[in-house]
Amino acid sequence: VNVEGTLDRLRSGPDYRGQIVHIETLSGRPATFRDPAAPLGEPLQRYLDAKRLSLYLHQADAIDAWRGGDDILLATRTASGKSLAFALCVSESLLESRDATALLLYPTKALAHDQVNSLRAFDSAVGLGARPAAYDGDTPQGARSRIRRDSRIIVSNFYGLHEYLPQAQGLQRFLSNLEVIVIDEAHRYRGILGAHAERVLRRLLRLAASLGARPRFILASATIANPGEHAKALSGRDVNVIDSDGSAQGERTVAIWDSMADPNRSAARQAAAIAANLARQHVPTLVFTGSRVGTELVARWTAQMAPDRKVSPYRGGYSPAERRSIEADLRDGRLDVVVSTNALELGIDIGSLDAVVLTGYPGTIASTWQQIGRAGRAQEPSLGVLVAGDDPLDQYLVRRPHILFSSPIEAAAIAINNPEIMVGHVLCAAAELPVDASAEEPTLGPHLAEVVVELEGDGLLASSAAGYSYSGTFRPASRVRIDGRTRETVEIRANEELIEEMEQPRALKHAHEGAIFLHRGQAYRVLLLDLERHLAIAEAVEVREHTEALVSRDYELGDGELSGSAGKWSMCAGDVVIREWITGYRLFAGNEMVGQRELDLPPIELYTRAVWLRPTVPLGELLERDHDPLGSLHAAEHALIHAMPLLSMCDRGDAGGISVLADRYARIPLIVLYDGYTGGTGITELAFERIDELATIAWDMVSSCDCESGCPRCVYDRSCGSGNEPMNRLGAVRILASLQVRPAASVL
Amino acid sequence: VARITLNDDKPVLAPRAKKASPLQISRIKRAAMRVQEQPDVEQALVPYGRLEPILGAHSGYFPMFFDPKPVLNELRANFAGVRLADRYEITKLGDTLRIRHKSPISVPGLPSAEVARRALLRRLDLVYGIGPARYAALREVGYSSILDLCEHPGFGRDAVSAYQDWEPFRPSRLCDRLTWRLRGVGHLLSTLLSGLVELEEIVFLDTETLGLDGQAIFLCGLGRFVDGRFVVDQFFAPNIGVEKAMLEQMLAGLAGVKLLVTFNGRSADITWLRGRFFYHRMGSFPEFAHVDLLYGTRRQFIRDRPVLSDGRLPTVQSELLKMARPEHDVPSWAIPNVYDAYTKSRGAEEGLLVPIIDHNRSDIEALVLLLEILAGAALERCQ
Repeated sequence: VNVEGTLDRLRSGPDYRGQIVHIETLSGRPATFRDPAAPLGEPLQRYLDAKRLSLYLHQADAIDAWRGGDDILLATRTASGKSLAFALCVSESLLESRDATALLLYPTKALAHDQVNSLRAFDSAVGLGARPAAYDGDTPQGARSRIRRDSRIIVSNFYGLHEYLPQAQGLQRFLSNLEVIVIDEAHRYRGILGAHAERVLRRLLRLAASLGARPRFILASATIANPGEHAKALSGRDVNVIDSDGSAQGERTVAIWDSMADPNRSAARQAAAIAANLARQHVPTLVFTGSRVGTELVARWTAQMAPDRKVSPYRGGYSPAERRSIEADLRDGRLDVVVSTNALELGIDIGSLDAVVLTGYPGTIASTWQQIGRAGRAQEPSLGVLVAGDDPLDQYLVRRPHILFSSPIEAAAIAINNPEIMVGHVLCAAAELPVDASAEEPTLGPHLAEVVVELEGDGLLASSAAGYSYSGTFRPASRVRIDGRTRETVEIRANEELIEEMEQPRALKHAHEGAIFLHRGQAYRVLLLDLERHLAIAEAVEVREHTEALVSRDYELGDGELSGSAGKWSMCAGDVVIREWITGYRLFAGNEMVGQRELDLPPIELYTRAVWLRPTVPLGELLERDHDPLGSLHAAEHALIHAMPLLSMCDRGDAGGISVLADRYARIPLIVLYDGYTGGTGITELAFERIDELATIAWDMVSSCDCESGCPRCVYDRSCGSGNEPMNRLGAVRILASLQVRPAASVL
Repeated sequence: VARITLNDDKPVLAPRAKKASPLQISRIKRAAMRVQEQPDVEQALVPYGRLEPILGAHSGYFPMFFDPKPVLNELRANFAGVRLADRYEITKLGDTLRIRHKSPISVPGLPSAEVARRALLRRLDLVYGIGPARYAALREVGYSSILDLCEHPGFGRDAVSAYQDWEPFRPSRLCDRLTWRLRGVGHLLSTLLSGLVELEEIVFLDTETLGLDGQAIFLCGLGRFVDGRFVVDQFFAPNIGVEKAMLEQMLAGLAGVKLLVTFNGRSADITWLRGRFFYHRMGSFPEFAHVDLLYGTRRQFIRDRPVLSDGRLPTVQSELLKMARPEHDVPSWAIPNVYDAYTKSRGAEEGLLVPIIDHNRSDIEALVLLLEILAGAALERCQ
């Protein structure tokens, strides 16, 4: 595809308002090949020869490291042949011992089943005799005992593993011979899901160890700032990080499209217009949206704007047969545009397209690249268009597109030491093998002694000479939702479709009756919030209105377990309790307030983790005379919250903040950044460790804007409890500079 | 353009406090509470607002939605202050108890070894490759027993292999062959194994557990004929901490046994025992010949003759065996809750156990009566 010409035609469309604010061209490169240090086993080499495959540099590196006894992590781009690297390493181990087994964990069942099919083909071509099989919620009961008895390669997911471990006697053969655990898409296991995944792995390793097995790990992750650290947090092992990507890559052009340049059409409408334009140019295009509803809408609009082209939506909820047929149509070029949720972000084979359009920033840089990476056949040039929406994070990327293209800054965080997560897994572990409270604290979590005493008091554990056994009447795994859903979760549905799930505290704030919230470029209005049924009913709306909840807050800080400093500020991290009362909300059309309503909702109590900051010098020394002190603190707090996702891969709105001029303890200024999830997801610990980078990004977000005292592009936040008042952008620039060891202002 | 500068002098991490702080303790307490209050995944997956119609249609099969409180209240009213030692013959075995009942159940009329052997050998379809049509054809041309078939040019080898289940007699292999080859009917015919072993070598087994998903076992009842009298020994764990010791006692009680008889033991009791033996790393649960009466009952009294309204043991007891249930019987689904209440009372409410003990004993006695009936029916199917 001629990218220059394609972009010119996008620019010459009738609705073009100068939205393309940045174009980055990444040069392609040829493949680098290498053979492993010692040749592959005969059947494996024969397989490669038959397929006319040579090994890429990183594949050979992986094999050498694996042979050397390492746990390994492959951090190379989408479609760089990671699956083949897994398959070769696993087969070497399985060929060496005829009893050895391997467990492969994928984030979705669709991806797992896709992999089983290719593993079966590989297995029979190589003559491994490992009978690869999927073992998950879709596996028929009749097939399960056969798989447990015979299969040496089992493909599953963490949800399944969590359920199967407490009744593992059927898996005894498999577990006692377990030599390899493969975890694909490891960067997805972060936050709450990551903490649960980490606990499930500890349980698996503990059970395997009791049966005499010590499996090694092969992980794969997208490019993130801390691949090795994250892999260690997840697996508990020091891993050998292999990022020597040797795969071929075509020239890639990425355009940043600022949807706010056209105030009359939503980001989703503009994405549809781009897709339609590309379709008219006969450029096969994949559009990513954030929700199923968004997928349907964008597909419909695209089809209306390009009536003679073939457009199809693709999303979860379609039958496997429907999905297969769309995938095949896409591969064979019978479709011009496919509009998808992130279901197609993962490695399902759809061939390659020439262009990808992202409706709104997907939330993480890793996701952005995985989605953009779906474009580009072989070494052909390809185009990616990121349609930035209208929140501060999207807008920051419009101003600072380099963030996307420089070395990765975002890190995957895991909520370690979260008792809310640990306790349920201790019960599961006690149902798998008696728990030795004094020896197993490193495996099962901190304060294990206190935890087992508490659980014994509740009758859920019984002690014996061998340790603590589970003695409850319910199935412990059934009470631990590893996706983090709890009974306090509210489902937000539009047209029967689940748009989002929020913990009740967040739902009260963002999904109260009348609230308008954005979900990846699509606006929704909440018609009804039913707390008893844990349900909010919303409808998709086409408005440029939004609402802001009015909140009054109270907080209680625990003793900070971590303490340190940040520039001219002292810093602590630890447990907090946040209490909030939603008193009403304001309705805005653009920036103009058009109405206010009161609400009668129960108070919210959130036990979570936080980082808090106090200046070590009087605030007056940091600010100019005309900077309103509270407005400056408040704006700085917002900027820190907005910068958080760029460092910690959390979702927008996962973090909250409080800023006061005189706190209830020391009567001095205080900024609190807290985790929006009960028990915490690990993002505040990450913020604590990386406060300097966080302050630098926040500083840049605020100082790079050209508004007067603050605007929706920089420091305004729709979930602000006090209606974004007071707000002082210039004062915030000073405060954020003072949080850095070497203020970035002087670095630049 | 900003460059993101990395801070070299990272803040120092304070070492984590050894003892949990009060706030941490309260988080632990809240988390423990949440686990107990959190609805099960399966329950949560039922769409909200659609629960009642589902319950209405299947309420008998969704006991987890039932409230055990009324049951507990009734039992407390009837058994408060009752001492087990006053009612039963109890022996302390370490930290576990053995409760012995001398049952009035009389010796069942089971087929003799010769009759059972001849009947089973007539089933040519036990030989690999023989289905109903070939079975009939072979009978037609004069093959009336597996012994005859041993000389058959085509089936001889497999017939010899089948005959080796008898010679030497290997009850568990024969039992597997019956249920693998003949499925439902095979389960029914497996009751004839009771004639092929000594009456004293049969154990009637029923367990009581904390749940249906592999939770702990707290009571294991074994019924056995000793000198013509039926004796039920119940091995009981007063707390789950002594489950392993209880299972070891129970295992010792299985010495010399050749045949286990259960009701739904294939899916339940025996599977659970295997799971608990694995959990306690006690080695494998021994491979006994196992007759599960559930399948034969279904085949004989539901599928082939509509005698029973369903295949649950209480239904069998009332509709087929005409047994009187023990007074103040406890429904099966509430047994975990009742035991839980007993342990939480730290042994004070031991009267609560009376209905569980009687329930278990009654179920074991039912196995003897049901075996007799099914073995008779099985004999007929071999004529």
